[in-house]
Amino acid sequence: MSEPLLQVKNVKTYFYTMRGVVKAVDDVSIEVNKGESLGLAGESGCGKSTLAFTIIRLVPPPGRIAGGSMFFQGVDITKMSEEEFRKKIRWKGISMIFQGAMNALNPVYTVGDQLAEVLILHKNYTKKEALAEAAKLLQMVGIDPRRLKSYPFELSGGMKQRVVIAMALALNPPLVIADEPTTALDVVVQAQIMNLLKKLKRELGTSIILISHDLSLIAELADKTAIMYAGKIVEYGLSDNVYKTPKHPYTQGLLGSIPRLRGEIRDLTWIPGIPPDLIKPPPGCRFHPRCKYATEKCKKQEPPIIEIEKGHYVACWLYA
Amino acid sequence: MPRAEIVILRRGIILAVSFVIIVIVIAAIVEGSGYSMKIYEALVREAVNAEIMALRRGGNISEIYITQLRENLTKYYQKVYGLIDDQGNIIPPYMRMWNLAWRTLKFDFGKTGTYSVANIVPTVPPVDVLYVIASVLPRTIAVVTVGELIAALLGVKLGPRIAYRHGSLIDKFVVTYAALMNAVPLWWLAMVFIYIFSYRLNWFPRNLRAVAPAFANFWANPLQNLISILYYITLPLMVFLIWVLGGWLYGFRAMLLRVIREDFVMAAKARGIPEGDITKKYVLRPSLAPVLTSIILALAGSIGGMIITESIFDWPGMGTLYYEAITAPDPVVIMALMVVYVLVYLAARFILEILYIVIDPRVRAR
Amino acid sequence: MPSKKRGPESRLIKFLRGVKTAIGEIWRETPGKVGLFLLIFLVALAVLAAVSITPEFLREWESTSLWEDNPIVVPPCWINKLGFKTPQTAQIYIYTPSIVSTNATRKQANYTYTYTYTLDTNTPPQDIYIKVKAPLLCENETLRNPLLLISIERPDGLVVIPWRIPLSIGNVTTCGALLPEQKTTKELFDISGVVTSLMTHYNISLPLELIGENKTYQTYATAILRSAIKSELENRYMTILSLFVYPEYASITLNRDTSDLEAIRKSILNLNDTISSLTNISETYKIRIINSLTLAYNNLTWLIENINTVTYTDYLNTLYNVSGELANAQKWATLAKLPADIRNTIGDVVGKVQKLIEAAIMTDKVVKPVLRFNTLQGDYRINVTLTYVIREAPESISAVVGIIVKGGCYGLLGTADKGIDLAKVILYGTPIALAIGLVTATTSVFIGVFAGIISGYYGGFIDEFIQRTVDILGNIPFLPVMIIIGSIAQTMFAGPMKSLYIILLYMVILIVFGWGGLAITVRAMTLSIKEEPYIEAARALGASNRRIIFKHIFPQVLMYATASLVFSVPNAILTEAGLSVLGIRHGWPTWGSVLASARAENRFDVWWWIFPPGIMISLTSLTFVLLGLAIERIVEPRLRTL
Repeated sequence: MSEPLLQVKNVKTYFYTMRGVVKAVDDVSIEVNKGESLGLAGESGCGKSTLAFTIIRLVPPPGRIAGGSMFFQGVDITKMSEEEFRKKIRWKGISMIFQGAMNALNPVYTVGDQLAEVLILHKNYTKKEALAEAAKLLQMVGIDPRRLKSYPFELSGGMKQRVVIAMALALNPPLVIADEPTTALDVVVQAQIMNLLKKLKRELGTSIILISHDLSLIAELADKTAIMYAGKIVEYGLSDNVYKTPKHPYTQGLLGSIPRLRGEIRDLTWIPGIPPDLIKPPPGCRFHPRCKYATEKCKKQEPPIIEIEKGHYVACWLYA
Repeated sequence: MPRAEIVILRRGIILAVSFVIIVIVIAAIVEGSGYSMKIYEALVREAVNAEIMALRRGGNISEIYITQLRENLTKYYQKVYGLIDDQGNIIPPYMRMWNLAWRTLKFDFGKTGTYSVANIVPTVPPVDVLYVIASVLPRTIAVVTVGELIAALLGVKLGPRIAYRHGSLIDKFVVTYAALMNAVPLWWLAMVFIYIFSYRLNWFPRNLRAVAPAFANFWANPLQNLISILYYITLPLMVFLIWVLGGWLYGFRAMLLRVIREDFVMAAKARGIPEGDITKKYVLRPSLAPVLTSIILALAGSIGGMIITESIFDWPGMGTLYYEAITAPDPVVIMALMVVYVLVYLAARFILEILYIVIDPRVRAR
Repeated sequence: MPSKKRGPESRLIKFLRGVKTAIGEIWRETPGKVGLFLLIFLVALAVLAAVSITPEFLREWESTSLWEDNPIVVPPCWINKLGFKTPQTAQIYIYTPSIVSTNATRKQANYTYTYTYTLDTNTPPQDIYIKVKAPLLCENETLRNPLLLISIERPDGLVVIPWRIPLSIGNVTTCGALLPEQKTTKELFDISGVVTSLMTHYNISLPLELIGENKTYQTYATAILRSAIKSELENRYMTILSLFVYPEYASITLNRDTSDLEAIRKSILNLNDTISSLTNISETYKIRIINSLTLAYNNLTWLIENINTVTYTDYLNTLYNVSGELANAQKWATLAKLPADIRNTIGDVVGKVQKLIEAAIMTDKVVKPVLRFNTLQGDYRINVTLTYVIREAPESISAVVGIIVKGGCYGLLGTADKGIDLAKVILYGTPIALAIGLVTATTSVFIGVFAGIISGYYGGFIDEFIQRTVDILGNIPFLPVMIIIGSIAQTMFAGPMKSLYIILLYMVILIVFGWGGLAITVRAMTLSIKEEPYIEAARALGASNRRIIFKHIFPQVLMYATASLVFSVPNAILTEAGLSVLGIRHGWPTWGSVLASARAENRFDVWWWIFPPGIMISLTSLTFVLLGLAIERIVEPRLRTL
């Protein structure tokens, strides 16, 4: 195993608003290896999407990458110029499947034109070649290639999402970030999309970062799982480990709130309280107001990330 | 999806029919209320009296001859103004209405007898209304339409650049400028500029009515007349442009900001598409419909001129024409103006329909 | 959890707290901050104006009598501080005399009121007059009315007495009562006296070397010079301002033009030739006539040749001689029974010479005065004396002496035509503008919200009706309709309340055209809220339509309506101003009326007349636009969910 495909080291992404500085991503480090898929889970507003945008350097103003560095295929992509990043990394190296595909497609151009666009732009295809390739991509995601001539408003939600996936794969990038790819889609389509992603992982060896608030989805696909809370990673490790033996109280709470079909009947648990204000997060461990194990130390000092077993990391005073 | 050509044809027919109906309705109102009859009767009386007075001045004429002549002349002018037909029978109102509607559709608007209206050309009544409108229209186009056009083009060119720099100093400046121009009445801005440039600096003339001959005899000596026209229109055009630009910049900025926030713009950026392409394909192209709508409707509306501001400048344009026609009152001219405006508006709508069909695929589905 | 108190009290407190938060939110944004500042400023002005305005002012603000004592079309006085010097304006009222001198033996009592006016620019003021209300004194049942005497000690030491006016009793019969006010006027000004004083003081005399020794002729020349001075003072200095000038140069030159003389000489020559060639007259007569003609001719020749060195005396003397000789010739010609046409010709020439003489004596044709006046800067001590013929005079009297000098500046914002104090009018225009704007906006928003909710909630016929109405109204061009109605309104109303009616009519039309836009938007909002599940739930619980509307729909619409209200306030103000400027006046002192009068007088060159009202209009519009923007930003997130 050579160096990891993607290395995110101590990255901070802050939003400088009139009400204060929102620390959406606060000192986060993750790694994705070639062919590996990473699941990123957490509540709404914990910073998952922001992290995704940080990786492709599309944080909208007034947000900015405030610290840390990212390495892709060994190259520091935080220091690259915008132009270089656009030409070399965007879409060729890292592509993204957006949340809510309804709006990710330009309404005044056909699906075929939009698919062809990336091919013409990045790979210098002619229009004819690009459209031929686009037809193949549509087939791969299970859409009739005659749909090349359709406009986005003529497609259903599920079809649009599949087009977006096709677009993300057009250049066969080593890393694909999927941000809530199945939200707002019905269960049947959700299953189709998940199967598609699994197929891609199997057949093309694409690395996938799957972002979701739905732990069951992550469990289906991800090799590794990272749990985010209030802009920080609280638990991180092989999915098996994290799911079977969750260490952080937050993870335990999340998993405890998933109803199971099999196994003993038990009460559902939930996590009391509300997510914290990211402008003035609680001092010490950010989870302490909602944690039933909270101690005085938790209220004052932030817990460091420690490796509790091989490849399994936790940030909690229970283990430090 | 029906073919674009059929859709266009359908819309065209509907609009043309609407226009004809509107003309007929207006003709019905005008004739039905007896307005235009009063005007024409007055015109007839004046014309007859004028001729008889001219005769009297020539020498001594017998009164019996005068009475007979008056009768004949009255009949003659009544025929000219469409009050009676060739047999001498009075044309009933509903016939007059059809005549009026038919003439209007042919753009034969009849004559006006009002001095204040004719003075704008400048000429003396009676004069063809179509001639009056045709003479006055270029002066308004030179200022208002040209101004709107320049402002729209500047808005389209500068709008994206400002929208991208949302929150920056230039952005704040544009918003402030737009707010100011919204609050300041155009006609007062005109007064201020007249003070500064016509009185204090003496760069521009004060009597702007004098521009009329340069327009009327333009082709006699195009270059010289062009320079003369530029000398006169610079002040009003400058004021109008400065004022109207605020609205355009703000409007385009708002439109573009809305589009820039759309997800597909960000998705396009994520795909590594260069900024120039994004502006062209993902920002401007989707907002083309509302942008073109604003531009075309603004140009269509500019024909009406600006009543108050033209009055301040004493600029002999369509606004002044409208004002004089309303206060005289001169219903023949008012009706003609309304017909012209409706026509221009309908034509603009029609053009827009065609453009929508070409630009926006979603419209074609209808 | 704190317990909730029920009842109207808590609702009020909640509302106030809501307002406080809203204002806090508005303050947070920059447009809100500026908007609030401006709003406070405007409201302060409006309150200040509202407490001091009177109904008479509203009616009479354009009549001259109110602004009589103000200078006309002058800039504000603070421009003096910026370096543009203007003559001062003085409006002084004196109640106690500075000097009282009584003389019982001579039965005279003088009450003198003094004021010193300083002129420190080289243009004189616009006007000066003195207004006096003097009491009627009595002595043993006899009424004594005073003599008013104004004397002015000028900076050059000259003392002039421009006015000497006996005050008439009029209808006054009571002892001690004030006589009707006497104002000094141009007609009562003793211009001759002033001219004499000036000529004496400045030693304006004739250059004798030009005039000659003849005393009579000197008198003529003096009279010509004097009349020239008088007419210059009357025309260029409007008589009264002669008080403030001095002659820098006053003298005469002689007109050395000889064309008239040569014409006459030529006529004489022609006559000579004609008569010489006559054959059928007596030789004696002929010689006599020719003699006279020759003498006349020679005199004229001498005059013409020496024209550049002759004096006025020489000129007149010569002309008299020529006239005499020609008269002789005429006599002989008559005796010689010369043909009528020749005699007529001689008569013509005689007449021409007479005319020349007349012109030389009475007009400035020969004696041309050369004058140059300049403003006399310095202190002017104005003494107003009331003289009573009375033995036992009181120590003081209840007279009021007003000294008005209309300078070159006035007040905070200067004056318009008729002397109207612009600062006052613009101040009083503030509450009017705010009232018009707020009432119109509030009413049309109220109607719009009401119509929109009804239309959206109940649907059906009423919905169709409202929608069609708004559609039709939208197709009618607003400004032309307003112009028509404005023109009609001017003739339609009469009486003291005319202005109010016209303005109310404007507001009604504005409201009629204004409610539609909001109604359509509110209708759309209502339609989408209506479909919300909680509405269905409320209905299932048995809530009446009224309750649903007021509790669920109305509050959500309210914020948007508030923003709409604020945005539409400027429209009414701008429309009223625009109509006034077009010439459709209502008569009240609004900012638009001030601009309208500037336009009517075509005075676009008077910056203090044009700028302040427009700035106020723009500032007011800006205030509401900014406030609207700030409110909109608060409202916008909620708008998105709709």
